[in-house]
Amino acid sequence: MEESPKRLQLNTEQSTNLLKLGLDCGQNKTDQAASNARADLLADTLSSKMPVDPALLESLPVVLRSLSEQLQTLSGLPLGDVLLSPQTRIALIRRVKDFAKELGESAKDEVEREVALAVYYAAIASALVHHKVKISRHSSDKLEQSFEKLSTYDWVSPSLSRLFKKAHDYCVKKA
Amino acid sequence: MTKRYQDTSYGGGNSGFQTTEWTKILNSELGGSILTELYTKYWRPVYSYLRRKGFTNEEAKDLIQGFFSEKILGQQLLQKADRTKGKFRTFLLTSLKNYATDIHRKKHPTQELDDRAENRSDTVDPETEFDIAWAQELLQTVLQELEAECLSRNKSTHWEIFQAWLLEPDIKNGTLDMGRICAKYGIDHPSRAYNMISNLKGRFRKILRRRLRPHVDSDAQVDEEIHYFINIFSRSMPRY
Repeated sequence: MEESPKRLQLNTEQSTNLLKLGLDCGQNKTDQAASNARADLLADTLSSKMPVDPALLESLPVVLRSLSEQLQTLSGLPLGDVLLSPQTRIALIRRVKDFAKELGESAKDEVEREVALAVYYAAIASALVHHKVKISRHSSDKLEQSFEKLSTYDWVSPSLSRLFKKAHDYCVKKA
Repeated sequence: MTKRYQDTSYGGGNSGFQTTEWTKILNSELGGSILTELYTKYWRPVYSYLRRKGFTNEEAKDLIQGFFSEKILGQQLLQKADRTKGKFRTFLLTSLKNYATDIHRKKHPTQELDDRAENRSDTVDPETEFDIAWAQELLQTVLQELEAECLSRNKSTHWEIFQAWLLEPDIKNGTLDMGRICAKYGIDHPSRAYNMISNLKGRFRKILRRRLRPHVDSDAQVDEEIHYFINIFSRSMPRY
Protein backbone atom coordinates (compact mmCIF):
# COMPACT_ATOMS: atom_id res chain seq x y z
CA MET A 1 0.00 0.00 0.00
CA GLU A 2 1.29 3.43 -0.88
CA GLU A 3 2.44 5.44 2.11
CA SER A 4 0.46 8.65 2.78
CA PRO A 5 2.55 11.80 2.46
CA LYS A 6 3.69 13.29 5.74
CA ARG A 7 1.40 16.04 7.05
CA LEU A 8 2.90 18.86 9.07
CA GLN A 9 0.74 19.86 12.00
CA LEU A 10 0.23 23.56 11.36
CA ASN A 11 -1.51 25.85 13.79
CA THR A 12 -3.51 28.86 12.63
CA GLU A 13 -0.61 31.28 12.97
CA GLN A 14 1.74 29.06 10.99
CA SER A 15 -0.88 28.59 8.27
CA THR A 16 -1.37 32.33 8.07
CA ASN A 17 2.39 32.92 7.83
CA LEU A 18 2.60 30.45 4.95
CA LEU A 19 -0.29 32.07 3.13
CA LYS A 20 1.40 35.45 3.43
CA LEU A 21 4.43 34.00 1.68
CA GLY A 22 2.22 33.30 -1.31
CA LEU A 23 1.28 36.89 -1.91
CA ASP A 24 2.70 38.64 -4.93
CA CYS A 25 6.31 39.87 -4.71
CA GLY A 26 5.00 43.40 -4.47
CA GLN A 27 3.79 42.24 -1.10
CA ASN A 28 6.81 43.73 0.62
CA LYS A 29 5.35 47.10 -0.22
CA THR A 30 1.98 45.87 0.99
CA ASP A 31 3.55 44.69 4.24
CA GLN A 32 5.08 48.10 4.75
CA ALA A 33 1.74 49.74 3.97
CA ALA A 34 0.00 47.43 6.44
CA SER A 35 2.61 48.23 9.07
CA ASN A 36 2.06 51.94 8.49
CA ALA A 37 -1.69 51.42 8.67
CA ARG A 38 -1.29 49.62 12.01
CA ALA A 39 0.95 52.38 13.36
CA ASP A 40 -1.55 55.07 12.29
CA LEU A 41 -4.54 53.23 13.69
CA LEU A 42 -2.76 52.49 16.96
CA ALA A 43 -1.80 56.16 17.31
CA ASP A 44 -5.42 57.18 16.63
CA THR A 45 -6.75 54.65 19.12
CA LEU A 46 -4.33 55.66 21.84
CA SER A 47 -5.14 59.33 21.41
CA SER A 48 -8.89 58.72 21.61
CA LYS A 49 -10.81 58.70 24.87
CA MET A 50 -12.75 55.90 26.46
CA PRO A 51 -16.42 55.86 25.54
CA VAL A 52 -18.84 56.24 28.40
CA ASP A 53 -19.73 53.05 30.22
CA PRO A 54 -23.23 52.10 28.94
CA ALA A 55 -24.17 50.62 32.32
CA LEU A 56 -23.38 53.87 34.02
CA LEU A 57 -25.41 55.83 31.49
CA GLU A 58 -28.37 53.51 31.95
CA SER A 59 -28.43 54.30 35.64
CA LEU A 60 -28.73 58.05 35.04
CA PRO A 61 -31.98 59.94 34.47
CA VAL A 62 -32.61 60.47 30.77
CA VAL A 63 -32.09 64.23 30.95
CA LEU A 64 -28.61 63.78 32.37
CA ARG A 65 -27.37 61.13 29.96
CA SER A 66 -26.42 63.36 27.07
CA LEU A 67 -24.72 65.92 29.27
CA SER A 68 -22.93 63.24 31.23
CA GLU A 69 -21.63 61.64 28.08
CA GLN A 70 -20.17 64.90 26.86
CA LEU A 71 -18.61 65.76 30.19
CA GLN A 72 -17.06 62.35 30.73
CA THR A 73 -15.61 62.17 27.23
CA LEU A 74 -14.19 65.63 27.53
CA SER A 75 -12.72 65.07 30.94
CA GLY A 76 -11.25 61.62 30.21
CA LEU A 77 -7.61 61.08 29.39
CA PRO A 78 -6.53 59.62 26.06
CA LEU A 79 -6.22 55.84 26.14
CA GLY A 80 -2.47 56.02 25.70
CA ASP A 81 -2.11 58.20 28.82
CA VAL A 82 -4.46 55.93 30.75
CA LEU A 83 -2.33 52.91 29.92
CA LEU A 84 1.03 54.54 30.59
CA SER A 85 0.19 56.37 33.79
CA PRO A 86 1.03 54.59 37.09
CA GLN A 87 -1.81 56.58 38.68
CA THR A 88 -4.57 54.99 36.61
CA ARG A 89 -6.99 53.02 38.75
CA ILE A 90 -7.14 49.28 38.15
CA ALA A 91 -10.89 49.45 37.47
CA LEU A 92 -10.27 51.81 34.57
CA ILE A 93 -7.53 49.57 33.18
CA ARG A 94 -9.97 46.67 33.23
CA ARG A 95 -12.44 48.82 31.28
CA VAL A 96 -9.78 49.58 28.69
CA LYS A 97 -9.10 45.86 28.37
CA ASP A 98 -12.81 45.10 27.85
CA PHE A 99 -13.10 47.97 25.41
CA ALA A 100 -10.14 46.63 23.40
CA LYS A 101 -11.72 43.20 23.36
CA GLU A 102 -14.92 44.68 21.93
CA LEU A 103 -12.89 46.55 19.35
CA GLY A 104 -11.19 43.33 18.33
CA GLU A 105 -14.44 41.42 18.07
CA SER A 106 -16.00 44.04 15.84
CA ALA A 107 -12.84 44.56 13.75
CA LYS A 108 -13.37 44.61 10.01
CA ASP A 109 -9.92 43.41 9.01
CA GLU A 110 -6.63 42.09 10.27
CA VAL A 111 -5.12 45.54 10.84
CA GLU A 112 -7.95 46.53 13.18
CA ARG A 113 -7.75 43.21 14.98
CA GLU A 114 -3.99 43.48 15.50
CA VAL A 115 -4.26 47.00 16.85
CA ALA A 116 -7.10 46.05 19.20
CA LEU A 117 -5.05 43.11 20.38
CA ALA A 118 -2.10 45.39 21.12
CA VAL A 119 -4.31 47.69 23.22
CA TYR A 120 -5.79 44.65 24.96
CA TYR A 121 -2.34 43.39 25.96
CA ALA A 122 -1.22 46.90 26.82
CA ALA A 123 -4.00 47.03 29.43
CA ILE A 124 -2.84 43.73 30.90
CA ALA A 125 0.75 45.00 30.86
CA SER A 126 -0.28 48.25 32.55
CA ALA A 127 -1.99 46.41 35.40
CA LEU A 128 1.05 44.19 35.88
CA VAL A 129 3.67 46.91 35.69
CA HIS A 130 1.86 49.62 37.67
CA HIS A 131 -0.22 47.60 40.13
CA LYS A 132 1.37 44.13 40.17
CA VAL A 133 -2.09 42.75 39.39
CA LYS A 134 -2.80 40.10 36.75
CA ILE A 135 -6.12 40.94 35.07
CA SER A 136 -5.96 38.14 32.51
CA ARG A 137 -6.60 34.44 32.67
CA HIS A 138 -3.78 33.77 30.21
CA SER A 139 -0.86 31.89 31.74
CA SER A 140 2.25 33.84 32.67
CA ASP A 141 4.16 31.99 29.94
CA LYS A 142 1.66 33.03 27.32
CA LEU A 143 1.71 36.63 28.55
CA GLU A 144 5.49 36.68 28.59
CA GLN A 145 5.64 35.51 24.97
CA SER A 146 2.95 37.94 23.85
CA PHE A 147 4.61 40.92 25.55
CA GLU A 148 7.95 40.04 24.02
CA LYS A 149 6.46 39.71 20.57
CA LEU A 150 4.48 42.95 20.80
CA SER A 151 7.53 44.86 22.00
CA THR A 152 9.35 43.98 18.75
CA TYR A 153 6.71 45.19 16.29
CA ASP A 154 7.85 48.24 14.38
CA TRP A 155 4.32 49.66 14.36
CA VAL A 156 4.07 49.72 18.16
CA SER A 157 5.05 53.13 19.56
CA PRO A 158 8.27 53.30 21.62
CA SER A 159 6.41 54.18 24.83
CA LEU A 160 4.06 51.22 24.47
CA SER A 161 6.97 49.02 23.47
CA ARG A 162 8.72 49.97 26.72
CA LEU A 163 5.57 49.06 28.67
CA PHE A 164 5.51 45.64 26.98
CA LYS A 165 9.20 45.12 27.78
CA LYS A 166 8.64 45.99 31.44
CA ALA A 167 5.68 43.62 31.58
CA HIS A 168 7.77 40.93 29.96
CA ASP A 169 10.56 41.43 32.48
CA TYR A 170 8.02 41.31 35.30
CA CYS A 171 6.71 37.96 34.05
CA VAL A 172 10.24 36.59 33.74
CA LYS A 173 11.07 37.70 37.27
CA LYS A 174 7.89 36.14 38.67
CA ALA A 175 8.45 32.84 36.85
CA MET B 1 -8.48 27.25 20.51
CA THR B 2 -11.11 26.71 17.88
CA LYS B 3 -11.52 23.00 17.38
CA ARG B 4 -10.48 21.75 13.98
CA TYR B 5 -11.93 18.47 12.88
CA GLN B 6 -8.75 16.60 12.16
CA ASP B 7 -9.26 13.78 14.59
CA THR B 8 -9.61 11.18 11.91
CA SER B 9 -7.26 9.40 9.57
CA TYR B 10 -10.06 8.61 7.16
CA GLY B 11 -9.89 10.12 3.71
CA GLY B 12 -6.28 9.38 2.84
CA GLY B 13 -3.31 11.63 2.55
CA ASN B 14 -4.67 14.04 -0.04
CA SER B 15 -1.57 13.95 -2.14
CA GLY B 16 -3.20 15.25 -5.28
CA PHE B 17 -4.93 18.62 -5.20
CA GLN B 18 -3.66 19.76 -8.53
CA THR B 19 -6.62 20.43 -10.72
CA THR B 20 -10.18 20.83 -9.65
CA GLU B 21 -10.81 23.57 -12.15
CA TRP B 22 -14.08 23.55 -13.99
CA THR B 23 -12.57 22.88 -17.38
CA LYS B 24 -11.01 19.63 -16.39
CA ILE B 25 -14.08 18.45 -14.55
CA LEU B 26 -16.54 19.39 -17.27
CA ASN B 27 -14.40 18.00 -20.05
CA SER B 28 -13.87 14.67 -18.41
CA GLU B 29 -16.25 11.78 -18.46
CA LEU B 30 -17.54 11.27 -14.98
CA GLY B 31 -15.75 8.04 -14.44
CA GLY B 32 -14.09 6.53 -11.42
CA SER B 33 -10.88 8.49 -11.77
CA ILE B 34 -12.31 12.00 -11.57
CA LEU B 35 -14.64 10.98 -8.76
CA THR B 36 -11.78 9.45 -6.81
CA GLU B 37 -9.76 12.59 -7.35
CA LEU B 38 -12.54 14.85 -6.12
CA TYR B 39 -13.24 12.53 -3.20
CA THR B 40 -9.61 12.62 -2.14
CA LYS B 41 -9.23 16.35 -2.57
CA TYR B 42 -12.44 17.40 -0.88
CA TRP B 43 -12.81 14.77 1.79
CA ARG B 44 -11.43 16.84 4.67
CA PRO B 45 -13.21 20.11 3.80
CA VAL B 46 -16.51 18.24 3.43
CA TYR B 47 -15.93 16.33 6.65
CA SER B 48 -15.03 19.52 8.55
CA TYR B 49 -18.16 21.25 7.27
CA LEU B 50 -20.43 18.40 8.32
CA ARG B 51 -18.88 18.11 11.77
CA ARG B 52 -19.25 21.85 12.34
CA LYS B 53 -22.83 21.49 11.18
CA GLY B 54 -23.41 19.17 14.10
CA PHE B 55 -23.15 15.70 12.57
CA THR B 56 -21.28 13.02 14.49
CA ASN B 57 -18.10 11.45 13.16
CA GLU B 58 -19.93 8.39 11.80
CA GLU B 59 -22.84 10.40 10.41
CA ALA B 60 -20.43 12.71 8.61
CA LYS B 61 -18.55 9.82 7.04
CA ASP B 62 -21.81 8.19 5.87
CA LEU B 63 -22.99 11.50 4.42
CA ILE B 64 -19.75 11.93 2.52
CA GLN B 65 -20.12 8.50 0.96
CA GLY B 66 -23.71 9.29 0.04
CA PHE B 67 -22.91 12.71 -1.31
CA PHE B 68 -20.26 11.48 -3.69
CA SER B 69 -22.01 8.28 -4.79
CA GLU B 70 -25.65 9.44 -4.93
CA LYS B 71 -25.43 13.14 -5.61
CA ILE B 72 -22.31 13.55 -7.72
CA LEU B 73 -22.17 10.19 -9.47
CA GLY B 74 -25.83 9.15 -9.34
CA GLN B 75 -27.38 12.47 -10.30
CA GLN B 76 -24.51 13.54 -12.52
CA LEU B 77 -24.30 16.77 -10.60
CA LEU B 78 -21.17 18.02 -12.31
CA GLN B 79 -22.61 17.65 -15.78
CA LYS B 80 -25.53 19.86 -14.82
CA ALA B 81 -23.34 22.50 -13.21
CA ASP B 82 -23.12 26.04 -14.54
CA ARG B 83 -19.52 27.22 -14.17
CA THR B 84 -20.48 30.83 -14.79
CA LYS B 85 -22.00 30.89 -11.33
CA GLY B 86 -18.68 30.86 -9.51
CA LYS B 87 -15.92 28.73 -8.13
CA PHE B 88 -16.10 24.97 -8.13
CA ARG B 89 -15.46 24.96 -4.39
CA THR B 90 -18.53 27.12 -3.80
CA PHE B 91 -20.62 25.00 -6.12
CA LEU B 92 -19.63 21.83 -4.28
CA LEU B 93 -20.36 23.40 -0.90
CA THR B 94 -23.82 24.56 -1.99
CA SER B 95 -24.62 21.11 -3.32
CA LEU B 96 -23.38 19.55 -0.09
CA LYS B 97 -25.52 21.91 1.99
CA ASN B 98 -28.63 20.96 0.03
CA TYR B 99 -27.81 17.28 0.24
CA ALA B 100 -27.20 17.36 4.01
CA THR B 101 -30.43 19.33 4.56
CA ASP B 102 -32.47 16.85 2.48
CA ILE B 103 -31.05 13.84 4.28
CA HIS B 104 -31.57 15.46 7.67
CA ARG B 105 -35.20 16.35 6.88
CA LYS B 106 -35.95 12.77 5.92
CA LYS B 107 -34.57 11.48 9.21
CA HIS B 108 -35.69 14.30 11.52
CA PRO B 109 -38.70 16.07 9.94
CA THR B 110 -39.33 18.25 12.99
CA GLN B 111 -35.78 19.35 13.68
CA GLU B 112 -33.92 22.06 11.80
CA LEU B 113 -30.41 21.09 10.78
CA ASP B 114 -28.96 24.29 12.23
CA ASP B 115 -30.31 23.33 15.66
CA ARG B 116 -27.64 20.68 15.82
CA ALA B 117 -24.74 22.94 15.01
CA GLU B 118 -22.46 24.11 17.77
CA ASN B 119 -23.60 27.55 18.80
CA ARG B 120 -20.46 28.84 20.43
CA SER B 121 -19.07 32.29 19.96
CA ASP B 122 -15.50 31.00 19.73
CA THR B 123 -16.15 28.83 16.69
CA VAL B 124 -16.36 29.70 13.03
CA ASP B 125 -19.40 28.90 10.94
CA PRO B 126 -19.53 25.64 8.93
CA GLU B 127 -18.96 27.38 5.58
CA THR B 128 -15.82 29.07 6.88
CA GLU B 129 -14.71 25.78 8.39
CA PHE B 130 -15.01 24.24 4.91
CA ASP B 131 -12.83 26.96 3.39
CA ILE B 132 -10.27 26.73 6.19
CA ALA B 133 -9.98 22.98 5.70
CA TRP B 134 -9.64 23.52 1.95
CA ALA B 135 -6.83 26.02 2.46
CA GLN B 136 -5.12 23.72 4.94
CA GLU B 137 -5.19 20.93 2.40
CA LEU B 138 -3.72 23.26 -0.17
CA LEU B 139 -0.89 24.27 2.18
CA GLN B 140 -0.14 20.64 2.98
CA THR B 141 0.08 19.82 -0.71
CA VAL B 142 2.37 22.74 -1.41
CA LEU B 143 4.63 21.72 1.48
CA GLN B 144 4.73 18.14 0.23
CA GLU B 145 5.73 19.30 -3.24
CA LEU B 146 8.38 21.60 -1.79
CA GLU B 147 9.80 18.82 0.35
CA ALA B 148 9.92 16.42 -2.61
CA GLU B 149 11.62 19.09 -4.70
CA CYS B 150 14.24 19.72 -2.00
CA LEU B 151 14.99 16.04 -1.58
CA SER B 152 15.32 15.48 -5.31
CA ARG B 153 17.81 18.37 -5.54
CA ASN B 154 19.92 17.33 -2.56
CA LYS B 155 18.61 20.24 -0.53
CA SER B 156 17.44 18.28 2.48
CA THR B 157 19.17 20.72 4.85
CA HIS B 158 17.31 23.59 3.19
CA TRP B 159 14.08 21.74 3.92
CA GLU B 160 15.02 21.02 7.54
CA ILE B 161 15.88 24.66 8.17
CA PHE B 162 12.70 25.82 6.47
CA GLN B 163 10.66 23.47 8.64
CA ALA B 164 12.42 24.77 11.75
CA TRP B 165 11.63 28.33 10.65
CA LEU B 166 8.03 27.39 9.94
CA LEU B 167 7.32 25.41 13.07
CA GLU B 168 9.33 27.65 15.39
CA PRO B 169 8.03 31.14 14.70
CA ASP B 170 10.17 32.47 17.54
CA ILE B 171 13.09 32.37 15.12
CA LYS B 172 11.51 35.27 13.28
CA ASN B 173 11.19 37.30 16.43
CA GLY B 174 14.79 36.74 17.26
CA THR B 175 13.89 34.99 20.51
CA LEU B 176 15.16 31.64 19.31
CA ASP B 177 18.85 31.54 18.60
CA MET B 178 19.53 30.81 14.94
CA GLY B 179 23.06 29.92 15.98
CA ARG B 180 21.77 26.82 17.72
CA ILE B 181 19.80 25.82 14.64
CA CYS B 182 22.94 26.27 12.55
CA ALA B 183 24.95 24.13 14.94
CA LYS B 184 22.34 21.42 14.75
CA TYR B 185 22.41 21.29 10.96
CA GLY B 186 26.11 22.04 10.46
CA ILE B 187 25.66 25.47 8.87
CA ASP B 188 28.61 27.78 9.30
CA HIS B 189 26.77 31.09 9.73
CA PRO B 190 23.21 32.26 10.57
CA SER B 191 23.14 34.53 7.53
CA ARG B 192 23.55 31.45 5.34
CA ALA B 193 20.62 29.80 7.11
CA TYR B 194 18.48 32.87 6.53
CA ASN B 195 19.44 32.77 2.85
CA MET B 196 18.39 29.14 2.65
CA ILE B 197 15.04 29.98 4.25
CA SER B 198 14.59 32.90 1.89
CA ASN B 199 15.30 30.62 -1.05
CA LEU B 200 12.60 28.15 -0.03
CA LYS B 201 10.13 30.92 0.81
CA GLY B 202 10.42 31.98 -2.83
CA ARG B 203 9.86 28.43 -4.02
CA PHE B 204 6.91 28.05 -1.67
CA ARG B 205 5.37 31.23 -3.09
CA LYS B 206 5.68 29.98 -6.66
CA ILE B 207 4.23 26.54 -5.92
CA LEU B 208 1.34 27.96 -3.92
CA ARG B 209 0.42 30.46 -6.63
CA ARG B 210 0.71 27.82 -9.35
CA ARG B 211 -1.61 25.48 -7.45
CA LEU B 212 -4.13 28.20 -6.71
CA ARG B 213 -4.23 29.60 -10.22
CA PRO B 214 -6.54 26.91 -11.74
CA HIS B 215 -9.15 27.73 -9.12
CA VAL B 216 -9.55 31.39 -10.09
CA ASP B 217 -9.88 33.39 -13.29
CA SER B 218 -6.84 35.69 -13.11
CA ASP B 219 -3.51 36.28 -11.36
CA ALA B 220 -5.03 39.17 -9.45
CA GLN B 221 -7.62 36.78 -8.08
CA VAL B 222 -4.85 34.57 -6.71
CA ASP B 223 -3.93 37.42 -4.37
CA GLU B 224 -7.57 38.01 -3.53
CA GLU B 225 -7.99 34.36 -2.70
CA ILE B 226 -4.89 34.37 -0.47
CA HIS B 227 -6.08 37.52 1.30
CA TYR B 228 -9.45 35.85 1.83
CA PHE B 229 -7.82 32.82 3.44
CA ILE B 230 -5.55 34.98 5.61
CA ASN B 231 -8.62 36.81 6.80
CA ILE B 232 -10.61 33.71 7.71
CA PHE B 233 -7.63 32.16 9.48
CA SER B 234 -7.18 35.38 11.45
CA ARG B 235 -10.86 35.44 12.36
CA SER B 236 -10.69 31.85 13.58
CA MET B 237 -7.86 32.70 15.98
CA PRO B 238 -9.30 32.94 19.50
CA ARG B 239 -6.78 35.35 20.90
CA TYR B 240 -8.53 37.10 23.77
